[in-house]
Amino acid sequence: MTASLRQRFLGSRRGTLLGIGIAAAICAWLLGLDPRRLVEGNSLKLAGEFLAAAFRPALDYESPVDGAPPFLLVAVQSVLITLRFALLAMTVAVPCAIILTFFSTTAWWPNRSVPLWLKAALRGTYIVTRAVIAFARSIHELIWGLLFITAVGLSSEAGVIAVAIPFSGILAKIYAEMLEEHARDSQEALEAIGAGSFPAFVFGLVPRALPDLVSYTFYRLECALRTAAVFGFIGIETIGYRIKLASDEFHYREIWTYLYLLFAAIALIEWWGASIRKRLRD
Amino acid sequence: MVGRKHSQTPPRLNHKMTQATAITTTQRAERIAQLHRARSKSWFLRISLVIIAALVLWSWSAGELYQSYLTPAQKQANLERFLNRMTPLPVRDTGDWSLALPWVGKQLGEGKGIEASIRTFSLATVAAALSGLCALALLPGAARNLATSEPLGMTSGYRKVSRPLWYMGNKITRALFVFTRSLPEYVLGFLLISIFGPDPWALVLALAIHNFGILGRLGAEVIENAPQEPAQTVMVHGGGRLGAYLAALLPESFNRMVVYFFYRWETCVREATVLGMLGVISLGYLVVAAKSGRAFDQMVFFVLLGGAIVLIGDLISGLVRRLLRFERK
Repeated sequence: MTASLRQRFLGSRRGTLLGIGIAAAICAWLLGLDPRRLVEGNSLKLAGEFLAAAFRPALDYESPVDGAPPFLLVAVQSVLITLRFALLAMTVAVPCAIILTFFSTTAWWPNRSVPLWLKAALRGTYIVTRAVIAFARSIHELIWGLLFITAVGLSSEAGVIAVAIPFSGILAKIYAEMLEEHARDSQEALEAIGAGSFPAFVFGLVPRALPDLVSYTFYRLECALRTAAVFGFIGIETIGYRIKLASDEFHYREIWTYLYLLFAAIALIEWWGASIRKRLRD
Repeated sequence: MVGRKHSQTPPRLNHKMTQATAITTTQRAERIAQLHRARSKSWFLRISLVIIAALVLWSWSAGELYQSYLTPAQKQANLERFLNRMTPLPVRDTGDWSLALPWVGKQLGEGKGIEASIRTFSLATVAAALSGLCALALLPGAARNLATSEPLGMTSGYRKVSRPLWYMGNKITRALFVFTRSLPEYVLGFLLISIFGPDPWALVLALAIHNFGILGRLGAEVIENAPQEPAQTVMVHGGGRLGAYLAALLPESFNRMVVYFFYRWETCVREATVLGMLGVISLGYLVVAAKSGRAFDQMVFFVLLGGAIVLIGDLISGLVRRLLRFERK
């Protein structure tokens, strides 16, 4: 029954594509998307101006004010603040994620017979941790930020914690998935020669999965940079704050400078993560 | 740290022990020393570790990110006010929790909770479909095995002109993917709203542009790692790059692409919940509206509704991905 259902709806490529297309069309209708809206008014002209600015990013303020610090200095500083914010959030998120991962994976559980109370305790913490992870990541970091701002007011700690909560949830979920789907051969070999299930996990499974874990952490750092940029829109002076200010004055060329700098920072992190992964695998 | 992790190669150790029935203490010490010498000695990794440590130290020691002027007493007062107003209004007035259920119903209907949820899902679906379509169209230009003058390792004819052209085309497509991927959805949404006005198009395009970069990169990887023989057969029989892509590479890697599509759809749902904060109705809009009206009970309710939507999205996508994985085996 399920096999035939699967074959009928997901096995057929035409069916899958058609399904996605129909779903998208219905959703477009629900949203009231109208292609004419894209060319109405002066939006085409504005879009053209915006895209044209991409080819000549600003190297100085478009309307300089006396006494303001040099544009490029401000731009680079805002990238550094963005990077700092991302690093702060990640240094809080990664240790939390490691603790959460530990309690939400069955990979280190003893497979010998253990007392019933221990089994129940393990199962209990497992379920509770999974629920905590699901809750933490299901609420978007920006909404966590908004909640903190409403509850206590904006501060650096509030911003960092707002990002760290969902990020530790996401990291823990993916870490646990990676550990559970990884080949167990080394771990089993260690257990076969008498290692306990916990040492076998720490020395047999974790090092084997390390390249995956590290490269996913770098991907999350990249995401944290983007999130940090977005937090500029709720008041922390990251690059998003500068983009917002420039956009309020229609300084498109300045916006492109900021976008290119953000791109450079993210591309650098990505290259770094990929290089580390390559060397860890060797 | 890295070195120690690499010295653990239990299968080989195990093998040794079965060969030599008895292993002496000195032999064991020698073997351990040998493994220790064979550890990874990459300078790149060591320097990276130092740089990461330095960056973390710098980020924690370089002063306040944001100068907050709130005194602890003010924060305390804020927090108390927030917590007091968190319980639903009728419950707060009467202390009777049985009134909470009709209140929830009211938020979902009159409060536009249902409408906003549907719009959130719709935004994600349209955006994911749009980005998937655009990424599929550009994939032959992005996959390194197709976008060369020798597709799939096959040589044909005069290539002095075509080689640099294909090389450039490939690099430009990949750069386009990396660039669009580096732009955060929220920033894109903000910029697009300043161009197109508060229209759902702005949010759909914002989601689509970012995910186009991600799906393009993942798709190119899938095409590069797909079995090449069927595609080569197509080319041997006179097909071109497009024929090999459409008739051999795409069908071969279809399931993986759909898996990635749903993975991105799930993330789109998550992002769509906040894009409404920019002023177009979706859940984020309701959260912000409730916040500015100081209706913290509604705010918390819509935040939780957003969480529920994200979890539902995760469940659907997880289910589809599991079904597809089974099929592949």
